[in-house]
Amino acid sequence: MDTPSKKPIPKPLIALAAIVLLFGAATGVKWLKKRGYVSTHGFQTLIGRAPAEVSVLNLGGGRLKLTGTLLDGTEGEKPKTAGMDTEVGEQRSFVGLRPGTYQLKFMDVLANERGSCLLKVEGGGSFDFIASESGIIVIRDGQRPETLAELDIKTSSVCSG
Amino acid sequence: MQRLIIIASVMLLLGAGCQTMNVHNADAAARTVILKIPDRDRLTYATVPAGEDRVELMSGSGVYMVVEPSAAEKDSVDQVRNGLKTLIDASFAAGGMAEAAPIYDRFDAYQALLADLAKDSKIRCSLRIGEDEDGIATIESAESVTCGKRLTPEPKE
Repeated sequence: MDTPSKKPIPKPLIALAAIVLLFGAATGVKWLKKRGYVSTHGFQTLIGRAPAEVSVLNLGGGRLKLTGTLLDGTEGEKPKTAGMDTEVGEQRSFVGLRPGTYQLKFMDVLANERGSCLLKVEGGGSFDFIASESGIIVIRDGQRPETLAELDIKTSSVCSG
Repeated sequence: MQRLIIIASVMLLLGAGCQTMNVHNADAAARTVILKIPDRDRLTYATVPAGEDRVELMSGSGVYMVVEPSAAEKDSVDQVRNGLKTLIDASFAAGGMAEAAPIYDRFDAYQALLADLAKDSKIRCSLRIGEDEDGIATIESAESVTCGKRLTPEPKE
């Protein structure tokens, strides 16, 4: 008995099915995002492309003002500066930092500089700055420094651009 | 190549959302809040003066959490923090070659404590915010935080 020969599925039909599938998946993702079930950040984390974050924990020395300036934006773009005030006892963050070199300046209420850091952000990662009366330290997520010199923003390699 | 195209398509569709979380202190005293940002380990720990608002601009939809720590919880945070501060000050006094590990470990403990409080505290609000939505949390008293959300207004031309 002859078995009926299977006809190959035409390539345009496969392409159409793939497009429909992709469109369906994309619509589904959009729907989930609109309702907060998935987020851009979650997806970026998944593929290792999450933007960097800077967090400041103020443990002493009065109110701390942090300004951050992106020094190497796209050509023709003016350097962008953003600021954030942190009271003693507070911890606040800058999120969504794109790659580039940032000039971070820490100032007291009288605008006296308490420290600065030339921070190079290459990919994601998070940087925690902790301020005390005696100085400011930086901890880069995933790095375990051995000495205070590697934590002190005055001497840390994290702050050398 | 195919995989790249799919990732690029999904990223384009995801776009870049932008939400705010507005914490309003309706109580007569200043209140401390812990704010957990979706998908991130970072937490905001801040004091909102009586009758004032604190607006945190954050990008990303997901589950936000606002916690008003109890007095005991605040004490435990203060203890860990004071320990961290003492360590940092002592290290600066000792000089650049002072060991970094104790500071690193104490900071880890502090972050873990905040994360635990955000998860386990009884006085909290937790809400899922989608794109085009802002979160509003109102601290009624030391015992109560209510939360809701509203549609993000269209940006003006």
